[in-house]
Amino acid sequence: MRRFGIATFALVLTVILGFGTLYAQRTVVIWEPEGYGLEAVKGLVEDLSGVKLDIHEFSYGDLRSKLQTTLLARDPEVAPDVVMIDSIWLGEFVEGGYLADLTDVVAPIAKTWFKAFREGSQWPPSSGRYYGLWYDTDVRATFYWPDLLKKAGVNPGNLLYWDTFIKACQKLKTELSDEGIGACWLDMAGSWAPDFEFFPYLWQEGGKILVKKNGKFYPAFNSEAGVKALKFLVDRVKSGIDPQTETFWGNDFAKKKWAVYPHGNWASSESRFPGTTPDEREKMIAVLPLPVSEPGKVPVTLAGGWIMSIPAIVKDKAPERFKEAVKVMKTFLRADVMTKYYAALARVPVRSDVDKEELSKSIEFFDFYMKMASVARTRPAIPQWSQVSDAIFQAMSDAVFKGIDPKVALDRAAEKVKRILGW
Amino acid sequence: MIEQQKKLREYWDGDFKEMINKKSQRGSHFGTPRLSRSLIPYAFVFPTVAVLLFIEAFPFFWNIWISLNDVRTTNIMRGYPFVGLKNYMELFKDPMFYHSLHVSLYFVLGSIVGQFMLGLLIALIFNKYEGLARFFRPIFVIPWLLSALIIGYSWIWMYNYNFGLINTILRMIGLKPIKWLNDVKMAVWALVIANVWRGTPFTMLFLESSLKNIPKELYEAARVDGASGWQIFFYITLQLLRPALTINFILVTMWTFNLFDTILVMTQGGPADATMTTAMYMYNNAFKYGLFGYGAAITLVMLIINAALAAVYFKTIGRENIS
Repeated sequence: MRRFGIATFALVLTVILGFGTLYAQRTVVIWEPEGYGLEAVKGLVEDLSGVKLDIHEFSYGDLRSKLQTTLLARDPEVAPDVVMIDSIWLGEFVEGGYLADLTDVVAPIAKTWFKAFREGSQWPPSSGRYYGLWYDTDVRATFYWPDLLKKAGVNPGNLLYWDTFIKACQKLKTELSDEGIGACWLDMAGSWAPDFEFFPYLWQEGGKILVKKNGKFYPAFNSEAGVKALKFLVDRVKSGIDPQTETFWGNDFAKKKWAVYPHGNWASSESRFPGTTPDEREKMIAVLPLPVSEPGKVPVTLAGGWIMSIPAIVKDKAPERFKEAVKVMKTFLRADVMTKYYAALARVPVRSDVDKEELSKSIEFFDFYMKMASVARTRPAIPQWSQVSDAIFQAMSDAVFKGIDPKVALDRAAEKVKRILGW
Repeated sequence: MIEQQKKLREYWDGDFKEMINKKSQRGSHFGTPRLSRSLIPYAFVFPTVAVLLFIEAFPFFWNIWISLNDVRTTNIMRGYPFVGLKNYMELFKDPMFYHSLHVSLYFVLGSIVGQFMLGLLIALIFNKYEGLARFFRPIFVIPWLLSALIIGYSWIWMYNYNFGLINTILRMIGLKPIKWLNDVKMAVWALVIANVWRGTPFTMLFLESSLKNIPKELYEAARVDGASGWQIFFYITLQLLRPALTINFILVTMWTFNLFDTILVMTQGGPADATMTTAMYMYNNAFKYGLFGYGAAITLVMLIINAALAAVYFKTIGRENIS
């Protein structure tokens, strides 16, 4: 009887442990930036893939350093299975050996992605080698409060061209400054400033940030187009638009502290206008493409976003976990799942085959954002990108704050970038 | 008495030797009794020394090693090349490094002077009016207890050109608003003000505790001798505060020179690198650009500067006290 009891106990224990191990194996750990919100489709992905998910959030800076230090340990036990990386980290993470080559997994799926995001998920760019896939994007545009413009007697159409944009801002400043309302936001708050104030205008004028020369990247932003784009920035400052060195990422715009706000699409999102519906937001604020130098020029926008990937260490040392991670990633990359995610978080899609009808109900200015995303351009995600971006930001700062001639400032930055790129 | 001590000594020696012999018979690793006796103290301190070496010395020497290699985020897993003093050579040719030292000089000097003046003034008032101190001391200490990030964000809001608290007050009293963080010349002083606000409570508490240790009799004697208030302050208070001042200056200098989190939140070194301190530049290189070798070289140069400044303080302010 006693032996029977012991045997039963051992059997039950084995079954419990067995299920426990099974359960543990089928939990995929995901690391994402704070507020990214994959949690919104967690249940759906779990149901569709049959895999339990454990999603961890980290602040922007923490995510990068934590990923690097964790993956450096070369221990799959501590590494996450699926990671979200900022699209501008791609080159650095691939060159450093942190990410797995996922060409076989994502190349067949990527066909419906907009060109910029499909190519931006490859390293080297347009090489056909995928290390993940772009999951969402954001676009830059000019947001404004129609009632404030009306009050100041400014026609919104004036925000479409460089010269009329400057005049409109001057008028808004005159009319609204007494009420403590800023006229036109001009972001000079950090190394991201070129994303808003330089690159879109450089591209619009036919310029490029970097070009390939003898197989290496070479600075091209100091071209005629670059000088023209930087002059537009200097002209705005000279006309009385104050460059802002601190940013509140659209929260100040939502509180009506600014009449015109050229920034990312988050400026119109529910997170900035809590408790409002997309319809209500569309009635309150309006959006236009970034201004162009003259009629006939096509407005260009810069698109950022996050890439879903899998660490190399998981592929190399934990093949079973890699299989699970791939299964989860493929589920996340389904059009219906991405539609649900975009709808829940009001994010801009990176692919054409999403359910547009559903999304137009849940994302304000959806058609406009889709149009912008389809023609958006992305930054070159080279490993030295943060240094290159800082050098360009320094040129902008020198021109704006120290009065240095735009051509001289850009040439100096180009010299610095040449050294950074190993020329 | 001496005879008694001799007996006691013989007894202990004998007992000890017996113990060692017994241990040796059991296969103890102790050698001769003399050797084992001399090893025992080292055995006791060994764990502490080992932990200290691991925590303090290892990262220090590792940092030196990293500074002699071209370590980057892109090659740290694949193997990085030894470059000798190349990182240091590049650093000493880097105009931004010299610019950052220049900015740090203003930032550290401004912070020290501000914290010292305000801290000493408040400490003197609190030392004289105990009732006032009991009420205000806990309030004044709050900035010191706050995290650098909270302080940074709070000051960003207060400094905002359009709707910040300070400019709103300036407008209300008919003055022109100031571009606190948007102006190349003003930004570093805006940071100094925020840092002084945060650091003053430390100086205040530090000096107040030292003021309480100055004997009252000295002041009474000086007054009897006809010394004026200023003379008492300069020749008694300040002189007797010198040890505390030396330590305070060293700590404030090091903390301010190494400070980067508040700057990272408030200006990120801008506008136009006007607030790019050496610590901020080190942070950018090591963690933003992923150039760990170059960042480590900057850290070591910062360490040498900190040590040199501490030596200068000891040689000047703290000289008499040390002697």
